[in-house]
Amino acid sequence: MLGGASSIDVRRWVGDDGVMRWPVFAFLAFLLLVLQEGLGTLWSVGGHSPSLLMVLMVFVSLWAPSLTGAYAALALGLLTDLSQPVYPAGQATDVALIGPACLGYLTGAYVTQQLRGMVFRHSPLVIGVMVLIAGAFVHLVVLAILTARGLPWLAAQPVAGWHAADQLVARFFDLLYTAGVGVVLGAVLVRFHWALGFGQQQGKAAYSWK
Amino acid sequence: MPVLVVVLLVCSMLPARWARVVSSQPRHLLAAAMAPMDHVLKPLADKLRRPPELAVELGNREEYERAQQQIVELQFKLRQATQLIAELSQVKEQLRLTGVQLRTATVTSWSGDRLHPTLLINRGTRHGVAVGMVVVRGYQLVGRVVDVGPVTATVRLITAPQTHLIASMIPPVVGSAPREVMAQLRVGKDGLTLEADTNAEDPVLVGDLAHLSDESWPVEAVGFVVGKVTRIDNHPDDPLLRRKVVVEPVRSLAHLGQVTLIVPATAGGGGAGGRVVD
Repeated sequence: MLGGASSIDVRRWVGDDGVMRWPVFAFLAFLLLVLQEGLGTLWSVGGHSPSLLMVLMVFVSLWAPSLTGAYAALALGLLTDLSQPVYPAGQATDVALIGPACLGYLTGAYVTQQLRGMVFRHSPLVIGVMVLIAGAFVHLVVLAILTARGLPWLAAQPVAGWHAADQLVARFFDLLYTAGVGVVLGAVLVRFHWALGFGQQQGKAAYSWK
Repeated sequence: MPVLVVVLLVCSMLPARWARVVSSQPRHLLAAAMAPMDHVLKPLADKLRRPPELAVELGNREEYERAQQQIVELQFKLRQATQLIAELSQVKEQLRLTGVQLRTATVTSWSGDRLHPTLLINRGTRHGVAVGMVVVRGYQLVGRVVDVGPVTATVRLITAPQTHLIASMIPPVVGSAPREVMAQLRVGKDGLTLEADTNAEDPVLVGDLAHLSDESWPVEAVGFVVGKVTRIDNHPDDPLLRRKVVVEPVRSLAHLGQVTLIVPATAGGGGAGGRVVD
């Protein structure tokens, strides 16, 4: 049933051909999101929390083919956008803005992929450092987009209580915390990288975003 | 990919109203998917790491606890006030009380004297209270002001022996078969209930409400509930032809904390102190 030409190409989903196992990725992303949000009070240190999804984004970008990494980053960005709504000024209720984190994560994935040739991706420390670098881009993009919302054109709907400088400082400490967590989580992810179908596609990756 | 980037950029700049339309469904879907696990993890996280207590200087601990106590009391009072406002609005609307003001008063004492059962309230001439004003609690008729001082007033309860009460007893539920029996009420032997004599064929049932329909009372008091029929016995003097109906106030008049004064518009400015003349 699985071998038929017209049947669904199951191998693509289980990673036999070296492609990332999307179901495993989806499960992992959901699990990390639940851990990130559900254990929020446990994670919080001085009002700063790590982003487990960002660690996963860096890990996937280090290991997966470029385009796969880009789509994975978009998916993780979408989850971040949906789970972290903002309060537009003058609005009584919050709203999940789809876009800022998607684009931020996409940029982060791109930066990671540009640098991954120079690093030893089996090292958890590298994941921590890459989180620091890619995360800086992620936050800068998010910050730029949300600040641009306050400009007197297009939506002209700033986020309530938004101060770019305060956000920069807060996000810097978030990033440091994420990088620290990234070393530990990275060690686990590297240990079980085979579960995502990585490690079999060496030399096969399509390094193209087109 | 470039198209996707442009779409996301546009989405990022959407006004909140449109952004909500785009993200509402997936957001709620995600929340629904996460909810079962969040319900397990959140208490676990809270248990493992309790939220930091409000830092209180040891010297201010008592003050903090007093403030907490005060907050609880204020919340209780607020609940009471809200309940009272709702009750009064309902009374005013249903009894179509127009041209009157409703003023609340706190009962400071109750006198259980059988001949002169009274309440003392903390409102007097300074608050516009005058002799003869009607006092109620929700739908329950309580009595009339019989004596007024500058800041207090005495209310004679409807269970006082000399009170004249004619009430019509009707079913409490709207839509029941229409029936009405008018009777004069007198105070029972226990001093807490009222009694009326009716004919054996009068359609009075236990549970009926006795509404004041006495023209000797101010017009704004007519319609208020005097009590509820709790027992119907054969009349001791004429058991075949007459019945003795026992009416009990819906609220215990001895345990009232607050009452409402019905102030006619003409008496709003205040009245002179004095005593009511029967």
